[in-house]
Amino acid sequence: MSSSDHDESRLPERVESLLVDWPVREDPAFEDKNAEAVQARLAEVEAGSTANELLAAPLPASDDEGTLAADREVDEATDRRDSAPESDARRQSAPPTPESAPPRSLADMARESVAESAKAPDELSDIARESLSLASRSRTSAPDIAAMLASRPSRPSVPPESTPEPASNAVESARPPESAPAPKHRNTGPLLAAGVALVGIAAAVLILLRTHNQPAPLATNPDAQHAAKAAAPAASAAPAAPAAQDDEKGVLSLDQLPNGELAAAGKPAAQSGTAPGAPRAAQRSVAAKPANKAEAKQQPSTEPGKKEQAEEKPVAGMKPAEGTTNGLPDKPTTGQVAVAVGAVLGSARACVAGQDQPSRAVIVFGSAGRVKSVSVSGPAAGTPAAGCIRAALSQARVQPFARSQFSVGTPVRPQ
Amino acid sequence: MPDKSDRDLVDAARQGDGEAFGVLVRRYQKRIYRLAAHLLRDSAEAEDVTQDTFVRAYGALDRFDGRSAPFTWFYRIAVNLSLNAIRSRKNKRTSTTPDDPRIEGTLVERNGACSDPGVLTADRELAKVVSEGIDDLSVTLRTTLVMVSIDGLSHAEAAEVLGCPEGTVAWRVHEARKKLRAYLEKRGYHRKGHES
Repeated sequence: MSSSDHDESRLPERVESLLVDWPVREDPAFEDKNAEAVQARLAEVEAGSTANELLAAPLPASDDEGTLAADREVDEATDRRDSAPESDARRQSAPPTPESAPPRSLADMARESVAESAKAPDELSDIARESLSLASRSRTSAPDIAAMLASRPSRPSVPPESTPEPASNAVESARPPESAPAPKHRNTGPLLAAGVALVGIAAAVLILLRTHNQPAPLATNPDAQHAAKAAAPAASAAPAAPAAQDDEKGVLSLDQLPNGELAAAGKPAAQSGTAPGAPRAAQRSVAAKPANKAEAKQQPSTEPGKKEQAEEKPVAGMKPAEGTTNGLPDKPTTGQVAVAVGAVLGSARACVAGQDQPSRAVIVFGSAGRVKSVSVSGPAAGTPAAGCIRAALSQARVQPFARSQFSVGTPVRPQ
Repeated sequence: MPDKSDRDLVDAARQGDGEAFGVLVRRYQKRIYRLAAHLLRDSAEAEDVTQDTFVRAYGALDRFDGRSAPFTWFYRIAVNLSLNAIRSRKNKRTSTTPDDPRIEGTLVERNGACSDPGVLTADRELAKVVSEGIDDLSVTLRTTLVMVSIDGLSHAEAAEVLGCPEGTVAWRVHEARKKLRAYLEKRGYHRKGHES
């Protein structure tokens, strides 16, 4: 998805503001009347009297509709990705597996391990160990692989001195070249097997590094990772949204964000916060993902017991925007703020569940990307809900930036 | 009672506690009304759908399996009722009416404390044009856009209500916004520069 596609769906800021805050009719008389009317009608309702048709899915997907990576719900403003059909096409171009066993390459396994890491942090180490184990197994089975490959039409070999690729790049490396002219037949099997093993080891090491450095969200499906990888350069070069560019006071209102749904990304479906969508969506944000693996490796690690020091350091896993002074942007981009706030807004909205009127919060980020303070105004101010909102929004993190602080205001609408 | 979770209230209602269900009605009727108003563009029909949504939900409590959040269940019923109402109309509406509830609400809520006639007029005009742009969308795109961009449902929640994958919801929202943007640009509302 190109940046031009991105721009195609951006709306004027006033329109975005209208969409996000399009009011419900505030008419207590209507509410009372409606509630009483419903209550009166309930007495006549028999259990099971509602037709099943009304409970059916109203607008299921049709064949003529497209699909986009679901992650877009949290970072649509800054990172347009390839569509799933494109990813599917790429996946379909992958080579057929010569064996009847499920076509799982080491890259696939590593990718699945990365995806699994979003499910349960406790399992991360096990997953990494599993990846290492798989790599080890592939080394021991190198002769078998060599024999298998030798029986296939010859193909270019992997140079033994080639650098192992990170996990996501391994997807590319796992593919054979397309209709490449066959070189003279050589016994390249052992070299290939060694290369595959190296890729597996690299993937495992990368997972371990990520486990320690970046508990950041990761895409949970291969398509999203394909798309994120393809879109990473464009995303890093994408300009900040005009709302941020025009912000002269350093205070940005989420009302002005280019996509209204961004703010809702972290919203839990029910008061209990158990709805499947919002928290998971926030976890799957890839906007905070480093643009390349080298940057990921350079991120400072946050070791246990060094919390105070860590708080002074930039937020791990956040990539400074390009074209900035001393490697730091003047302020976070709109999209990054949207992702950061959207990830915690659901929790904040749960704090005011049941209230009629929205409250408003102003979040002040320090230059390290962490929240310095949160002020709450509106109905929640001065109530326990304000503390709840503050606690929730304080979890937001943005990339480090050059200014001493940066403020953003957001409505906290009741669920 | 008002502090109880939706699921607790549903459970209580299943046991015959009408008051518990009443709490759910009060909790969600405004959102259901807003959804219906955006889909139907008619206050009276939206009120009817709002009432019917809760009545029908009550009549199907025995089939609520608890896998989804109760409010997504209400939404699904409300969307179905709204679509039924649209299908049963004899004439297809092509423009906003003077008492369009969406514009009414905008005037009352957004400018309640503002007495500047110029601002009021501009806001009213903007709400009218945006409403018409939304109306210009297909029912599918419109419904998805209203749920996600206006009512703030996540893609996952909207997908659950509509019965389609999250990726389809994302695509619909993107398409809807693209079309809405094109509609607005034709009428002089550009992303940068002048916005009347």
